[in-house]
Amino acid sequence: MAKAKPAQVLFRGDDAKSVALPDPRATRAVVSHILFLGGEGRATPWMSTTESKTTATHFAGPHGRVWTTDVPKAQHYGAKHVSKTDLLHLLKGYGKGKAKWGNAIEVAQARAYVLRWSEHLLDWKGHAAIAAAVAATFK
Amino acid sequence: MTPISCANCCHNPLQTGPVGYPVGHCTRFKVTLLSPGHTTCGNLQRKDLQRERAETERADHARTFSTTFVSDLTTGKRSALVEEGTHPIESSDIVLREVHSYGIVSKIASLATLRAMSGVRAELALTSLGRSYFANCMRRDGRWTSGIHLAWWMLGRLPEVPQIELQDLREESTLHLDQRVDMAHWYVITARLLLLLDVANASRNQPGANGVPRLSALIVESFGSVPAGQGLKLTRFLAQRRSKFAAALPEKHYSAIAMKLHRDTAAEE
Repeated sequence: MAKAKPAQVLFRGDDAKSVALPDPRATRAVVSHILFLGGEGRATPWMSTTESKTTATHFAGPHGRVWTTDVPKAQHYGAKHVSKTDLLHLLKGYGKGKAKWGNAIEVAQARAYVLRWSEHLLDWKGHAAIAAAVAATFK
Repeated sequence: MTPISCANCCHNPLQTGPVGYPVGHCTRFKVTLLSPGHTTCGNLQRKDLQRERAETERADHARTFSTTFVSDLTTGKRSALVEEGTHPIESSDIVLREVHSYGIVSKIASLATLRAMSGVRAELALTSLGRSYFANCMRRDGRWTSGIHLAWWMLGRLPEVPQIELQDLREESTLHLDQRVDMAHWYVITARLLLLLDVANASRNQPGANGVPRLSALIVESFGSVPAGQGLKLTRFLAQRRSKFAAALPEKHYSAIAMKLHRDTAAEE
């Protein structure tokens, strides 16, 4: 019998006390989210994670910590997973599907970040009980 | 949050993406940035965006972070990750020495000095400070021709493959070494293209610009055609279009603009 593939572990560097909450009602586009357009505190239904613990440690900074989950767990609590592979496929030209965007240069920059940071996205759009779901997802 | 940190700011010319020095230097506050990925300020001019977009983002950013000191990215408080004066590493490196004295004689003289230096670190300093210089000129008097020398220098470099050294890779990464080097190539070439694009975009509908605005479409086409991260492929793509780029700003046109600028400056003096 073939051995089951291990679940993809995802890391997130964030505040030491809690993971920042996404806004399930926000309509921010994928490229805008990855490029951090709108700056600190912008509303986004997306949550950035990475398959690289080193990257997460960098993002945690000197005051934060690295939080951990895996794809089945995040999906169990209601997030949709967009993998790094999917993102790299979508972020070409003017973007495809959910990553469509009007500026090819910004699509390219977003793709470069995904590559550099081994980024995966969790989509929490429309989720009704976000605080409890995020708390349960990350350890 | 690296996109809104000092590591991605044109006023800090020591890094671009994963390439450059381990520390940064802020040419506005004249301080060493010990951990540029974890600090920011309200003057942020993002390297990864075109000038117009970066200006909008700067205004948003200044509502959260002070414009008078370097802040910690997560707390917004004055950062302890900065050092006044010259960092020990800065006295032993000619690029760092030039960056540290940026603008003391004149900014364009510093940029010309950086242009004459070899290596990607000098090039990254040139493109970062060049973009900061041009954005400043546009804010002040809105003359696109203030970027004509920078644009000309970048046009000449477009077909060149950047010479990346191992010590130029500043980030730990899970990517294979060849991918990291190709990614570094992409970032250096992108820095050239974005500086050129800033000038080309500003020349739109301006008298005497002739073919310069056409560069914008050529640059957008390049980004749209080659997936990000593939630096060598992007270089080949640009080399194939060399004549189209050259036709948008022929040497004769560049010389005429440069001569007019020279005469205007002499008349003002």
